[in-house]
Amino acid sequence: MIVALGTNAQDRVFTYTYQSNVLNKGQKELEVWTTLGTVRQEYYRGFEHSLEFEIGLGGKLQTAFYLNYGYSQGITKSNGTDILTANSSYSFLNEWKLKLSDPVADGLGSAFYLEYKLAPEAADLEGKLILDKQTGRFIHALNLVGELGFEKKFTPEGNRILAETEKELNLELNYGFSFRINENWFAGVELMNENVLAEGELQKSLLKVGPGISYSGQGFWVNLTFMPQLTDLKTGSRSIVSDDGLQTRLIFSYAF
Amino acid sequence: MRSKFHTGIVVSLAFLLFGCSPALYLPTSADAGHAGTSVDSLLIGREMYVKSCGSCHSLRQPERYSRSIWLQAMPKMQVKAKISVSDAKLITSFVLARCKPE
Repeated sequence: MIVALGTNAQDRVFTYTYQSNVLNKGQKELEVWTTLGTVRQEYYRGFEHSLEFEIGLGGKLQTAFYLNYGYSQGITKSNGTDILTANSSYSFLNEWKLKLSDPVADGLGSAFYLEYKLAPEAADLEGKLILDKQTGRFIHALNLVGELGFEKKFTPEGNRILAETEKELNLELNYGFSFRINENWFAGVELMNENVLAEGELQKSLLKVGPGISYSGQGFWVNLTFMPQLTDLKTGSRSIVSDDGLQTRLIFSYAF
Repeated sequence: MRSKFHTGIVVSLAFLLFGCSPALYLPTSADAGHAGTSVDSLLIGREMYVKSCGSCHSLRQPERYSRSIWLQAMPKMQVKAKISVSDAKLITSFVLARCKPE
């Protein structure tokens, strides 16, 4: 009991939904993220890994640096022919989080979050408003997210390659609810609504809901969430051609 | 489907926004009497608790742990968070005033 009271790390209990807490000045965490994407058409399977270094700067501000690596494999069709396609991606990400109020001491916890991501073919800018609340054994968290992405598309034309930049706006809403079972274990549900807008039109509105568990121990925590896609609210059916039907995310964090 | 989803979002927002009283208690004269100190002293203890402890980890509600648990944890956390002896006393008074019965 004492160990749990005194030395638990940042107490993050969700994997997709952010909470308002920040690290204290000089406190550091190393987080390893793994996201498995499955249940798409054509035998698709993809992994996204992130290695995150997080540090508290004081003044309720923290920053983090991510090294991201992803790879996937699946069958695609080209002129009626099946092709086994493998893709990989690399990116760098830097986030900043400023805590505005505390979820226990104040009526509502809140924080602003800003991140930018750079990849060879893309750049993203993302902002979040984080709200959360703790009452007794329950934790609620709500994120309102806006992401602006720019991606370069290369197409061959004669003996030249032409580049075109595509712009995409992603509006997302995440909600997490978790229940403290005991000093170490939390169990809950996360909900995500992801809306993608391009060329002024809503392209898709994915609704995902899934269970999650969290364990925190002496200086570390582990969170796991299963996030099945329920439907695309725009079409009324699941979008599993270019989107995952099921995502499973594991985050392991070590504080030092 | 979409309207059901939006209803769910509104319910969630309402849950968050209407339950806006702090989970961490605000000291009363009864708490001060129980702790053998003043309300002002407990209020300062609360402020120190939020500032010194809440910047590192989620704040624990005093009611969650017994007196013996708090008294075991405080010296260790005082060293870890570099809390002065006088501030630690104020924080201890604050958490013990509403601690869980043994």
